[in-house]
Amino acid sequence: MENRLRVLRAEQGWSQAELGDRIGVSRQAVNAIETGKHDPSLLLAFKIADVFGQTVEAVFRPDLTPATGASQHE
Amino acid sequence: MNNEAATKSRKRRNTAVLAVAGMIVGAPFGYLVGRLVKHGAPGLHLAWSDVAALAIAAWMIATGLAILVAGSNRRIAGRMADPAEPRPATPAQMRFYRTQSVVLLLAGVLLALPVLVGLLPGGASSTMRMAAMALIVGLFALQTFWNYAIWRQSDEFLRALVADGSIICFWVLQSALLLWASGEKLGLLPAASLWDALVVMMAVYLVVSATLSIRRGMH
Repeated sequence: MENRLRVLRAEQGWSQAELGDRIGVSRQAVNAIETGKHDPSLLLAFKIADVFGQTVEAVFRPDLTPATGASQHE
Repeated sequence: MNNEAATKSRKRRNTAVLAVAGMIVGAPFGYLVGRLVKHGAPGLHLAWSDVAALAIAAWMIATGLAILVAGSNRRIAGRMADPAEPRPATPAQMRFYRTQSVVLLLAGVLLALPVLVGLLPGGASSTMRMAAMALIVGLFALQTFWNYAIWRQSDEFLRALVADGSIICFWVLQSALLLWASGEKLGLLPAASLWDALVVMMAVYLVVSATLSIRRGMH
């Protein structure tokens, strides 16, 4: 899952810990989401989008890049 | 240097300090444990699984005490929660660390107790062994309660870490059990006791959970 969390957080001037406080998770959880090591639950994704005043799809989008080569549908 | 670069630099420095400290403490400890497992303790006849159980228990108790000390001080606990940008820990973080330390201390005692009772001079009487078993059951019930408390206090990231670690452990250990039990049944491998299996399980769990935690940035 790709996300714009780091950019949105920087725009607000929040640290990972501050964002974590606002959405009720640890600093480590925010870091893991930002770096793509943890895909948030739907509930947490909505909380994150809400705290930035965005829609979920404006913050997150599935990583649809093919693993190797070009798309087979081309 | 901007804020992001400074944070990264601090993180790298903290990681390097932790790595060096780990090597200084871990190298002699690892050497000693390896030597004990290979040659046995002087004057004692301990099975490899007993030595490994005591080593794991010592590590758990030491780590539990360290977290207990850190969890009693807001400033230290805050540094532990976020080494790059330390701030005083919240009451919830303090509670979490204290609960975690209790679970680790209890796990260490539970693992060491059966071995230590067996080491009593002259051997433990039947009454002592029954008392030890009753103590183990009681401590296990307490540990289960505190483990559940940790689960309740955790966010979804930590729960996912625990769940994924459990899945990997189940897959690895049930595969090892199947292969070892088959070899043993066919008379190709030596018999392993349930205690041996328990110690291997604890060691695998610790390695898997530590590896997952580091890989996912839980530090």
